Amino acid sequence: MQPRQGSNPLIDVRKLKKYFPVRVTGLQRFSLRREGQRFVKAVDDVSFQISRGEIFALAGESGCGKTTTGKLLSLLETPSSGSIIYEGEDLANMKGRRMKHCRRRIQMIFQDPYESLDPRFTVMRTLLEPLLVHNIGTHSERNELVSSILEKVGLRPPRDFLMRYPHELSGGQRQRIAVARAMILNPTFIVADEPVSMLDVSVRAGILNLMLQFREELGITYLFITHDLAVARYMSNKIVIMYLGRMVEMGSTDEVLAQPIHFYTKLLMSAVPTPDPSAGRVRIKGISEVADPVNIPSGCSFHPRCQGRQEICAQLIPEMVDVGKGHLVACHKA
Amino acid sequence: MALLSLDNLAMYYALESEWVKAVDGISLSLDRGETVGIVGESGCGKTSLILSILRLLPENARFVGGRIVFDGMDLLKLPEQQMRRLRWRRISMIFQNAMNALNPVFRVGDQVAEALMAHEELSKREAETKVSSLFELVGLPGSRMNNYPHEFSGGMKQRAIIAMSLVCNPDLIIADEPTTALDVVVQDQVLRQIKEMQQERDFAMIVVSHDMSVIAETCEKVAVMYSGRVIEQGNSVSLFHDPRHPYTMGLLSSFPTLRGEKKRLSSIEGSPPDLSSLPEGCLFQPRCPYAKTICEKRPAMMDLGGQHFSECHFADDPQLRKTKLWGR
Repeated sequence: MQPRQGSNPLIDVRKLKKYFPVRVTGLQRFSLRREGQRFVKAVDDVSFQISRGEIFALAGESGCGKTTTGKLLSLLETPSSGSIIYEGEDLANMKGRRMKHCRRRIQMIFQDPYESLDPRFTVMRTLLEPLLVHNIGTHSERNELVSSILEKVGLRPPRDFLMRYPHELSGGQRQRIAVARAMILNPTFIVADEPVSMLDVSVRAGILNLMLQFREELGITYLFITHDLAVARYMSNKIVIMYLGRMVEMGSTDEVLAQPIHFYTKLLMSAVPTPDPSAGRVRIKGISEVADPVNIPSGCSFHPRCQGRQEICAQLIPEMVDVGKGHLVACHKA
Repeated sequence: MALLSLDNLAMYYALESEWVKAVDGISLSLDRGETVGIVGESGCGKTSLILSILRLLPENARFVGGRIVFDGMDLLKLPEQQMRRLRWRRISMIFQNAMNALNPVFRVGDQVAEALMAHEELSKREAETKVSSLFELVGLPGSRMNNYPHEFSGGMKQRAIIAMSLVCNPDLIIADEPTTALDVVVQDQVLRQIKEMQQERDFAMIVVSHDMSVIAETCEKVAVMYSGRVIEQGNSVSLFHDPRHPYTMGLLSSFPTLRGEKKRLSSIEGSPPDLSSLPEGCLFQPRCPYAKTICEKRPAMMDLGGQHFSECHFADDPQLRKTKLWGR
């Protein structure tokens, strides 16, 4: 099946915000400086659209809000404001059966298969769980589904794996089970949060190719969260670069990574090492540390680290501007 | 003479009824100012190898053969007391998880000074002056000495750990995944800092990493480990440009790159053999796409010239290099 590229997107994220209140602890409570409630702006005014069959990458350093965005899209967190429109319907207004249906269509793959699988569940039990929750099929139909999904994720023959516990599987096999668990409900959208960063290099490609295969064969749409731009390049067709909760650059992956415009994207890319000892990479110098997320710098939050900063950068938050071909950049210099 | 040379080193862990062959006949040598990278999958014996050099192994570890010669001394014959004087003063280590390697209830500067004072006759004040200049050297303001670890970011903690590894001006630093926990921009700066230190102080380094790109950029020599053995080693240019072992070839085609042509990736199917019951023949044979009948026999280490060695029957076979083994 070819991925359908419709005019109406599968997911439409509008001005999404998620603020976490900062807890006041210990002696701060008696502080004479009354500061009022402070927030960590984990996701701040994020808008994008994901079309069917697309692999949409969210990239950035730790603390940039990519995981929180993923959690909002997979219904594990509720937004502070803004909306997520799934198949034309606002997730915030959904209730009851409609909500449960949505949860079935939106699945997740987590980073660490050592923690995301229940150590006391056999593979069989792990894969039956979602079917039981959603009350799918008869006993024998469920067993058949489990076997066929194992076959599909490359764990053959399935009967060799059914009765195993997670500790009897290798890291790569565990992550395949996690993929199978997400796929067994026949989802339309999968949020994959760093699905290969905990795995050995030698087996990463297997998981990535499996996900690509499901997109080609079944038209699955992915939100692919990663800190690794090389992996994002391999997997995705669209990419968003995030920094301190805000989007700084968005566009087709090939375009953004070939012609990065935002200084942050350039800095990130220049820091990625090359597997070629004789390459001699050009590095951009900059302040390496991300600012404190509670005290985000004024204006463009990247300006203290930016090489091209001007006066305006400290005063005004730059809007996302289209520089052509759907390539958007939030930079005053763009 | 090489600063460090491992000569057919073998170290096994004794279990109740079997041996786990974590290091099984490894030869390596390292000169002053040189960096060797060690790559391999988890469980291939990388950590056992570096802990063997420091003799920091658990009780059930046994050296069953070979030698470790450091600056003319046979480390395996050295009495424990002399070994203790050697550790940190001459061979120090940057640990994998710097985030947790610092004690949260002591000031960072004091922790670094402690390592110094344990080995050298210095007053507290002298030690502090030295630590503060080391802080500046690794890119931390000297005034941050008085901070506690929680006041440091990840990159700063890693820098403090690097400062700590440098306090006694060692001849050899062993870095176990020194930047794995760091973000890419910070990783880049920390790696550059380490390389600058090395140029200044001329210490030798062993870098253990699963990231081939980090190895390519920081090391002059590379050793690829598989099931307790080094199955290929050479200078990094020849190893990355002209790998001669199917396993190395597989590793090199298993990760994506940010630059250059976009290729389809391949994974190495199967898993490494159980270290307590290794196969008779070539260790990689069960997973090797190029395996032939001869591979039932254990291959010898083949010298390919220019300090490039590979433990494959077909290492010098031009056919192996022409065949597209991985990725279709």
